[in-house]
Amino acid sequence: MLDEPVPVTIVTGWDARRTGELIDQLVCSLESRHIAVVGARRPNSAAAPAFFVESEAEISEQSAGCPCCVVRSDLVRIVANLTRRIRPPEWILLEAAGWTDPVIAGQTFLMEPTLAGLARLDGIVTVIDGSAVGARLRADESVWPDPLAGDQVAVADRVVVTGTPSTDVEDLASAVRAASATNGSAEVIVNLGGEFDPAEVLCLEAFGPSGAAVSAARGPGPTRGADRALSGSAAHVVEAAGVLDQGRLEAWLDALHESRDCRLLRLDGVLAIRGRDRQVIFQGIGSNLNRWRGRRFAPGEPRTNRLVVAGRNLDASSLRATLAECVAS
Amino acid sequence: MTGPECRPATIVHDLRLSWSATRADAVSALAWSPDGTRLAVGSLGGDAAIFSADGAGKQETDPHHEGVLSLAWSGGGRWLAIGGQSSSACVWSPGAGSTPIPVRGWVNDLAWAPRSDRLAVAAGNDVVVVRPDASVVADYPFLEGTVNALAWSGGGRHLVVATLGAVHWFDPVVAGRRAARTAKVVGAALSLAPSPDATRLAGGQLNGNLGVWDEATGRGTVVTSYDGGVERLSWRYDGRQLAVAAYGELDVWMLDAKGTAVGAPFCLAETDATLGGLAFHPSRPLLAGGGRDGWLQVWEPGTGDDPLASLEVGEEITTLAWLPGADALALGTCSGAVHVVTLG
Repeated sequence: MLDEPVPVTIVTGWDARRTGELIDQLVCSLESRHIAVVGARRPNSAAAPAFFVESEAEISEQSAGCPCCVVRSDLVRIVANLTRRIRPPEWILLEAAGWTDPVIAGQTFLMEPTLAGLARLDGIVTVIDGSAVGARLRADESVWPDPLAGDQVAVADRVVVTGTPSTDVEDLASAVRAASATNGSAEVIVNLGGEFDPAEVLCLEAFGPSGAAVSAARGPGPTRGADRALSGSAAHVVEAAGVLDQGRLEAWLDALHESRDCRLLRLDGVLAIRGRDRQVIFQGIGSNLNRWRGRRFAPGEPRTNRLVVAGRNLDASSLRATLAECVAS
Repeated sequence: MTGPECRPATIVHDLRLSWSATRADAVSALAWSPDGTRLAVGSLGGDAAIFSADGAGKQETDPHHEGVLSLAWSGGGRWLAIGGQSSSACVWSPGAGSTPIPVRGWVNDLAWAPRSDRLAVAAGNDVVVVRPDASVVADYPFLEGTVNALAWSGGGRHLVVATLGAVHWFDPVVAGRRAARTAKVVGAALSLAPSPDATRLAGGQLNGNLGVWDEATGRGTVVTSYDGGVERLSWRYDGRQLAVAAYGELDVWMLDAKGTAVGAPFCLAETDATLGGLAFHPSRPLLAGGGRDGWLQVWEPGTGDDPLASLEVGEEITTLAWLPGADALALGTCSGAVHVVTLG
């Protein structure tokens, strides 16, 4: 029986073996805790999770003709049943590896009303194979083997670069640089196996008003980061000074969601809107967008707006220019 | 449901507790044998037990590793089919014990064909039709997505399967693996309910759509669209009313012979979640519902919005089932309690 929603961490990454290894490490580290793993393969760790539920991503449209209003219907069913146990899991680790899209998994928890009160998304953790990224760079290939692999990095709250003690240090460094270039707002950590502190990737509380505000404040300044990654996935920082006109902002957000040239993956932002004496906090994943009232502005405090916008094929300079046009005259 | 404030000023009927029992985990499925002498109870802990109707006797079946999701008695009450989350299903009988049915994937639903010993099992993306000895009569592997519900319609002529993006009508005897009819739906089809007169089939979807198909013509109608998934459906014994538990609402629709809604529905309750249990009485115009607020309520839809009877259980009601031929019902709760109550 639930006192509060069960936290869910999405563990994603292109290489299912590496995501599986991280889940194994977490299950071992949390051996005494009541953990559920939902994914395509049972963990190999010596310590078995309290629950393992095999799942294949089942994408379900929620609205006729709207290709982005989709949820994972398998998760709706699985999480509802797990959380109705007399002793529900303390944490759910959701594996979304390989071709599995973490955005659709994430938006399921934010969009699906039957999961409200049962589960809350804590964070998205993306696992990168440090050796593989190094090898791709040496072979002069694009860093990510598939656009979805880039999406998995761009949408992350934490990126875990994995390797072994014998992995080439240059390869690990290349992977860290590549991850940071794609998503400057995510903390990148290196994991060479062995003991792993679960606190590195759990209890992030990245979703919700406080998480969104923290995510929006993180990351590189607007002149650094991933501006050059026009044809790939990246998280961009977009800033504008002054108060925004509500109508123009809504049109800007609609255009971002509806653009056929790019794919909006995630948005975290703290904005100042004309006529409001408080900050407005935005957070969205995929087609979902939530907003909350933030803190009250101090007397005389300059009004600023800062967003971290993650997406595929986004043009950062265009984002900044068009957001600037939303500033109320 | 709305809790104490929705209790009627005058309780027309009493709901009296007959007996209670406790299981190790949340009760996930209940099924009375057709003759009403036994009650099968499954839990999310993986256990299933058969109680005598007075609660005095109990027999445990072989436990499953993970939660039981579906129980179904065969028409004569000789066999009990059990399926659940551990990708396992079995046919159990008092004399022979359990006969495992080989399946792949989570078993969401089970249904015996009317007046037949054929059992349909929904397991992952597959449906298999077996006899009680687990020999396969027909199989339908690799459907579009997880099969969430199945039902025998047309008096057992068709096996109807609700999956991702489609509802299929299979004819296991004639058509082999080819669907005799397919209706495309948006998103996942969650629930199915054939009308008692076998003329219509109601279906609920995750996106909130409620559809009704005419069995003779195959023509479907979207009756309405709710804010959230339509998880539970129940027809009145004469097929004149359809109760619908969607996220946030409990409605009862009057439907004509073609499945078209006659007027607006009776809205019996606004809920903060999907109802755990919803069932019309097998032979009277009474509807029972129980949900997260821990209230069991019984209405006579069409005679007023207030319930005829209410009982506070004190914890989430996860499922319920009317006792055949009697004004009594069993309900299960999230803490593993099983209560049998009588409508006085």
